[in-house]
Amino acid sequence: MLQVDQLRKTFGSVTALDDVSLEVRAGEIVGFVGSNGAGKSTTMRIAMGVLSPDSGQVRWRGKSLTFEARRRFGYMPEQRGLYPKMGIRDQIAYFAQLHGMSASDGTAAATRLLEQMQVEAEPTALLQALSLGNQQRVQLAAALVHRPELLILDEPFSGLDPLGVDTMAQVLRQCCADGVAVLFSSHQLELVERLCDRITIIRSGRLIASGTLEELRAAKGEHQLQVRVDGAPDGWLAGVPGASIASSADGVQTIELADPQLDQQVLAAAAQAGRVVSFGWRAQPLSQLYRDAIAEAA
Amino acid sequence: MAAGGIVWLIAKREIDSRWAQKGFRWGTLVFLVVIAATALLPKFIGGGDGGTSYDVGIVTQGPASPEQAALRKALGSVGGEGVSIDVTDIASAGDGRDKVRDNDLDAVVDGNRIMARSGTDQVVGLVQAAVAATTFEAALREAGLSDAEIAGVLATPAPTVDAIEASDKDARRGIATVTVVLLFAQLIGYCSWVGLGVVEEKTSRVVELILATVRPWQLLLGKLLGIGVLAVGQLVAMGAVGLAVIKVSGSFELPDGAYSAIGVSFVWFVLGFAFFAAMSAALASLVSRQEEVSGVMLPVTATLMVSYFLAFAVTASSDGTLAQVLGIVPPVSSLAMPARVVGGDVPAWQIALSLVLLVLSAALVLAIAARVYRAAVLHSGSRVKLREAWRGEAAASLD
Repeated sequence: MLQVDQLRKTFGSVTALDDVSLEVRAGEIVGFVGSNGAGKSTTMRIAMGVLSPDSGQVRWRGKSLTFEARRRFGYMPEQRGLYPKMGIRDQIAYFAQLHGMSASDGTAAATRLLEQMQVEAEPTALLQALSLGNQQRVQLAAALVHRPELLILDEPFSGLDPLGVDTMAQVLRQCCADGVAVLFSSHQLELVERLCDRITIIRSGRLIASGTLEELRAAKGEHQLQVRVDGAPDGWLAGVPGASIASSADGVQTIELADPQLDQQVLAAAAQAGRVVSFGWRAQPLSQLYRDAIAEAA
Repeated sequence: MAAGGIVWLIAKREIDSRWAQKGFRWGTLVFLVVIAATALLPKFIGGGDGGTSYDVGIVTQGPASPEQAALRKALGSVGGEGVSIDVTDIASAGDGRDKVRDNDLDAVVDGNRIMARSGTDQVVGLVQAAVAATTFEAALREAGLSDAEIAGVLATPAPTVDAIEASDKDARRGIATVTVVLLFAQLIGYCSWVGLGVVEEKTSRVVELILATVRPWQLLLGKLLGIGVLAVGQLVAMGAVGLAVIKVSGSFELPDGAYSAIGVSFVWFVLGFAFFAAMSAALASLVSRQEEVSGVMLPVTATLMVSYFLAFAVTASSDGTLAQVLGIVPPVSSLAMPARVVGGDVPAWQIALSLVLLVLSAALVLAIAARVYRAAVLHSGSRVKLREAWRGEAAASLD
């Protein structure tokens, strides 16, 4: 659905984006991670069409992004922004109308969203009277009110309490289930890991990794097993050349394999050595993959 | 949605959000009350449609003599249209002198003597005429004319005097001054609202969200339209209340052509607002913080102030060469031409030229403003230089 192709953008002498490409498909949540200033917001602003790239292009459903197509996007900018002195329901309804909904449909949708987002305030309350967490929910409501086909959310989880994070995550999953394409950036990697179908890592304006979690793990070329064998003597693995114990903690041994095909030999050796309590590939957490990717690119 | 629909939606939000402020509603009400009071003022400080009325005393000791009765009758009829004289009897000349001094009476007639505060008061002339008429009547009767003949002689109509020059010119100058003050106050007040509104959207960052849906020119135009509708609406309300009060209370005789002149003023105001408000929006879009607004808008306020003072020169002499030039040159003409048309007669070609030039200059400023605004409005942080904004690429410029 959304294709971002080879974006390049400089601000003065600073290269903000250098050959950035990514894709978001319908019904898919893509996580966009990278350190501050890596180019996430710049990419998202260009994808939203509020900033022009120096070169490269943004395509929607295979065609260059147009003004009309963009009106079916939902956006949550990095710098949150709504009218502080406007009532929250009116405000969400206003954005609905700007996206082409009728006044009554807009108000109805706003009322429904305020409930769904569990905003703890009267619908007539002014935005500035709300807590930051509630303001953030209203902000998301303003991005969702016109039932967008694509959501571009810049750090939607920042500043939310744990319950807020849950609500936000639930809403994103629902959108995804409804076929909406979602691109969001975050520093909360465990959330990204939990929510996203695919992940894109950016560093200093360049993409350094992109794919599903499995693909990222595979791409690292690391093959580690996590095995717990009760009653096994030290050196039980000696009979499997190419396999070595990388670390050991709480009885769980992490075994590094030179070749992933060695896994069955390790299993056989373990079964012979003692009672196999657990045996499986080690799933690197995203945070580790991220750190390794960043370190590798540096 | 059509582009016009979006502009109106934005304009409507501007109107609604300002109307929702109590301060605005009360401010408007106070304005209207002040206007009504100003319109009533002439009724209280003399003049007025009920005309002038004088209190004249006649010194009578004992029952009135036939001469005094005749004088009383003459005083009653001498005033003519718009002037009435109330006559009271005074016991003594000294008493009359005191009453005149204390402003209880405007004049006192004691036989062939008139006491008044000043020899040039209109009342002195009236009383002199009445005394002369009485004496004349007595002389005619003495000469043997019958009452009917005397009435015939006295009925000779005196030429009526229309003192157009003085009173009409004063009235027009007064209205012109009030017009200039009102137009200036509206322009400066609402232009600062435009500036603050633009920066409010930048400060709160809502502008990025809006520009992800609408084009910069739509946002700019909607804002100008919304605030402009409020400015014009308030002005129309003030004008309507002022005219209604004048009409109903009769406090003030409107000079000929006043309505069309006020109509012209509205057109020039709308164009002047377009000019100054577009300038305000463009300049305000260069900064990101409220406290920078007044500084960056200095060119607008300075131009407005200069126009204001020049327009005052026009109200003082609405036909001079200076006034003719100022009435044509934009943007001063936005205040000076209303002052001229309200203050006096202006040749049609000057009105047309003024209109064309003001329309063109407002269109030019709007075009420049739209270009500066679209490049500067998404830039947050430090102040954008005007030249950079002019050359800068447009934000959110999708086809």
